[in-house]
Amino acid sequence: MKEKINIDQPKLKENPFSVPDRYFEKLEDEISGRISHVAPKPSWWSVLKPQLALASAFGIVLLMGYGAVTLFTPEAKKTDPIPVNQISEFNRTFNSEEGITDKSSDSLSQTKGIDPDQIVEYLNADASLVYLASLE
Amino acid sequence: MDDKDILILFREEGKENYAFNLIVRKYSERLYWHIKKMVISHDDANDLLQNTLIKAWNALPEFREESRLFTWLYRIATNEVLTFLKKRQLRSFLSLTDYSRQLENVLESDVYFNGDKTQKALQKAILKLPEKQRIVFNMRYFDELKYEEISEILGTSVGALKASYHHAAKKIEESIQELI
Repeated sequence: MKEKINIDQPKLKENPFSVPDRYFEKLEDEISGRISHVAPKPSWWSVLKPQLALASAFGIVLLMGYGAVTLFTPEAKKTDPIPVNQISEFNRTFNSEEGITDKSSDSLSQTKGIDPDQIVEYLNADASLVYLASLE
Repeated sequence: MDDKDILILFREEGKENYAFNLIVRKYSERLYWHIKKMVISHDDANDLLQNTLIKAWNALPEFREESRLFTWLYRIATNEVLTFLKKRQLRSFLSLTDYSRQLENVLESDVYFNGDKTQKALQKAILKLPEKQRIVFNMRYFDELKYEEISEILGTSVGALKASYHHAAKKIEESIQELI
């Protein structure tokens, strides 16, 4: 019966392979030669960084322009609407100064009845004017 | 110089190449052995290592130090190896067993193999394992990486890695007897 091999023996853990003479030195030169022709691919951040800088610079200029325009343009004075109670207060003061009473100032409340004959007469007069205009 | 300082140097304008050469000097040997034990052929290992390093060069500006530089490099190398092995297997329409036999032939004819017959039997036994199990076994057995580090590289839980390693070790112990 064959003797059982213990794979944990140190001799078996040794590297049984070798390399061609000066292989690793030559490899270094070869890799060095290959990478000297090709720059490493730039990272996404280094590609994006100048573009982001340009975009933010443009944004800042735009913001400053807008600020300057809004700061130095004379603004039309905004007037708040006058509250209703102030208007009626004004009217009361004005009427009392002018001697106008509420009764006399309100013409609508004093409307007299209009005679229908007067309306017909007015309309007829108006119609004749239209007629005259058409003749010309 | 430690990795942090190298990465600071890499981010300085005009120092990228110098900093990357320091990384190559520091890690290329470990990465080479990691790849070599998986593909056996020196030429394939050399191609894959160069691809790994060029990919690392291109991706290094994006490296945010969420993992350590060395685990990040190991991860790139592992992905390169697994993609390569899958492509080779698909291209030659071979089953896993046949492909393992093909790798055994490469090992037999490898002029850079200097081990004795037990070491060769061990390598052949390892080649019989499924790829992922082989990677786990190599990283733990030869590179002596901690399970936490392997977990960081492969994105597999520590528990699953421990189970995978013990299965692999058991299978190897069984097949190594037949191979000697």
